[in-house]
Amino acid sequence: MIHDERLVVVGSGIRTVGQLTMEALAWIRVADKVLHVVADPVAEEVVRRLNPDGAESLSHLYAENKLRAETYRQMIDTMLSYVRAGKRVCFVAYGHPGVFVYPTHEAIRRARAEGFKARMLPGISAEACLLADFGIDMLAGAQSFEATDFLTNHRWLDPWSHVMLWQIGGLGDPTFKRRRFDIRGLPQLVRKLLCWYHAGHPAYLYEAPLYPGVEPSIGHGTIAQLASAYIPPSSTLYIPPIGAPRADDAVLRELSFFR
Amino acid sequence: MAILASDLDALTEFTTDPTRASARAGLSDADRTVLLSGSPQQIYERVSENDVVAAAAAPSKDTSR
Repeated sequence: MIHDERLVVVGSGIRTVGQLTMEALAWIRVADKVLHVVADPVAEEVVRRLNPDGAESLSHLYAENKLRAETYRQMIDTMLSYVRAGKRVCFVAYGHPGVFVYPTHEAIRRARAEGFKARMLPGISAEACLLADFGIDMLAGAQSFEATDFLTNHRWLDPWSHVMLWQIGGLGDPTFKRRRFDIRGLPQLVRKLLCWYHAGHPAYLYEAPLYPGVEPSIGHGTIAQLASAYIPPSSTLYIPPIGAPRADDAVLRELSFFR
Repeated sequence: MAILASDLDALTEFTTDPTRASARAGLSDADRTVLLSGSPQQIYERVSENDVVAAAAAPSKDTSR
């Protein structure tokens, strides 16, 4: 087997200790250049230790009130500049490198378009942590949306499934903020959710633990209370199903499940 | 913690007995208290100073194999 990738994108997991995969560690070690945006001092230190000569943080590309789209463009340009220079590049992103990480997808697409072999390796995402911490079995079905995308597009929910709205802590804010996003649209989001749920239906604000021995942060309230709730920047909204799904008797009969 | 994230033996020892593993790591009582506190804010503030990360490097060499 020949590993001739010029760009490999990996994730550091949410909790670096225990969630950084073996293959991610290997690629970090063998790359000529390791570009990283991990927002975690532990993950940064791991990268520096494994590849002291090649490690380079791109976190400085973020700036207060700067459009994230501009930062992403600069990240993509940086990745590709090293690839074109003949370097074997590993990009390390927080969590899963393909979940809400536009620059990784775009850099891979462009690298391939230019004839370079590029690939993404899976990482432990916040969704994986949430499923484990809430004990959710996907058998009931699940829907995941980026919160701003859900609010600003004509999306449709199945309230009999588990629903997760990601990045609700940055709802409606396209810029970067170091501490707290300028959240816009919570009342509108609640209004939209009330199309499928009653006001008293439970809602949870979840934050995955970043360090070993730390419990997840789970805030409990109702859909209606969300409109005025404090939303931590890195939280996810989880809404449990309203009940068991309704059986489709016609299909069951067709499949001869009923005798 | 950087060692814990990249060394299976170190992580195994920490998972089995975090108190003993952090003591073997040569962490000060204060750092050990923070690491085992379960407080994300305290841990973040401490690792951001980098001292805990540096101190944790030492034990990997004498971690039980």
